[in-house]
Amino acid sequence: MVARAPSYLKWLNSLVLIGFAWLAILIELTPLNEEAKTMLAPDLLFCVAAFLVLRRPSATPAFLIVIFGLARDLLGGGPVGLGALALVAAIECLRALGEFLSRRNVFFEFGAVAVFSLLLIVLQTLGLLITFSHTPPLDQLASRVFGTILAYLLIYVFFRWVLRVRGEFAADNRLPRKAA
Amino acid sequence: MASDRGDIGTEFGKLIRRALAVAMVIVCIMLFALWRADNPRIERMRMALADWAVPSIELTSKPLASGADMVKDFENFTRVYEQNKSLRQEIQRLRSWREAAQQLERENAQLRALNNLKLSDRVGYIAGEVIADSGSPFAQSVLINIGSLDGVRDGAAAVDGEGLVGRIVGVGERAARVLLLTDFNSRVPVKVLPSGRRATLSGQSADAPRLSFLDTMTGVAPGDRVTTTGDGGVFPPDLLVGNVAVIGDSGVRIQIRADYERLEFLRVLRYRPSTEIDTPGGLVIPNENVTAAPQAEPAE
Repeated sequence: MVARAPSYLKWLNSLVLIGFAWLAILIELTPLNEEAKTMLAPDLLFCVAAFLVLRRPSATPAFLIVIFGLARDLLGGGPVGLGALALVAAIECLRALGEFLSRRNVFFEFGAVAVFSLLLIVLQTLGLLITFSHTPPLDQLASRVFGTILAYLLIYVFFRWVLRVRGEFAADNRLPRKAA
Repeated sequence: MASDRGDIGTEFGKLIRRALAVAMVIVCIMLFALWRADNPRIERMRMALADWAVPSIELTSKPLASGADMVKDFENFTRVYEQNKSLRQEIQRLRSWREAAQQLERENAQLRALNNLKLSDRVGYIAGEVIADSGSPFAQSVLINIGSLDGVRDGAAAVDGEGLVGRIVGVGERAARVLLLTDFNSRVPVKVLPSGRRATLSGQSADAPRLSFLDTMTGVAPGDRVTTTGDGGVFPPDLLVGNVAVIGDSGVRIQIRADYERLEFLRVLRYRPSTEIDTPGGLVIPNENVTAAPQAEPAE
């Protein structure tokens, strides 16, 4: 059951997605210490989109996810289009599970995000393998997944407890009482 | 009535969103196909977006980089005594090297004077700041804040203070993309010194790229210097790339000299190879002065 929000609020929520998704891309691109990069190279765009699609699915349209995925692929220098396709596939799977997850313990959500961050990497690697392109070493892919899962915890804390973003679902029993 | 209209509007909105999403997915598939085919349009799109995004990238990267530097500085501060000791030793070692270098420079100048050697023009460069890196394991590249307006050309070599870093693969007006030597798509013709063996340096998406097409391992040992050959006229010859690190079953691995952990500023070389035509095969444009082949004089 999805509670209907006024249309201007949806647009406002979409603007939140746009702002934070762009910020996530810029932070990912920031040249930090190489050691820090190899240890934790999280997919921040996926984390932001995953959190918002589970809480505000109507304000997280698939076409915006694809646009940001494409922008990240283009700016990052990686395989163009593949990252965006994998991202939208993972986010749409999470969207389908949104109502189910809203009725469950928060650890189910972390588990789902972990599984789909793995799926994201697997899809990209498969895409590269199918087209006979080089694939990155396994340790780098594993660190990417691990970093994404850890980053999601931070994103969760930031959005949930600092910005107090709550869910659209009526059955969302994990909301703080004084949520905005 | 109004509610019905609202429902229709919502359904229509959903339909539009779905159509947009499907269209975007198709666009992504087409772009991926173009990327796989190495279509130059993809690089132009990248650089157009990078040009547009340069101000916001710089705005974000500066405070984040400052924060990272502060953490690094704090780490350094905790090891200040050890660093001071090692730096003093380094200074002593460098002083002896300076003496040796000055002596060699004098000797070199004398020998050149004796040989009446004419040196080629110096290779010019443009310096730029690294404003973004790939941020994913699927690519090894960085964006710098200089572009075609500053005179950066496609294919130019990028170096830091230590050695070769990579080459320019995309040029926008205010930004350029440098493909690092560690990227899978990086191939650079190199030679191993002192043996002079020629090979191709192939990126492996790991810290140590591999030497491919090395005809024999004879004379190649760990610690040997690896420099560019200048073959193909893209890079200037004798640019330092690194040293041979490992010789094993998987081939020869190179320790890159450039400091990839601290890529803050890069120099993009303005190098134009010699265009002297020394063979008839090198002649491309017909010379207007020589429009017709000289007539053979009749034998008397």
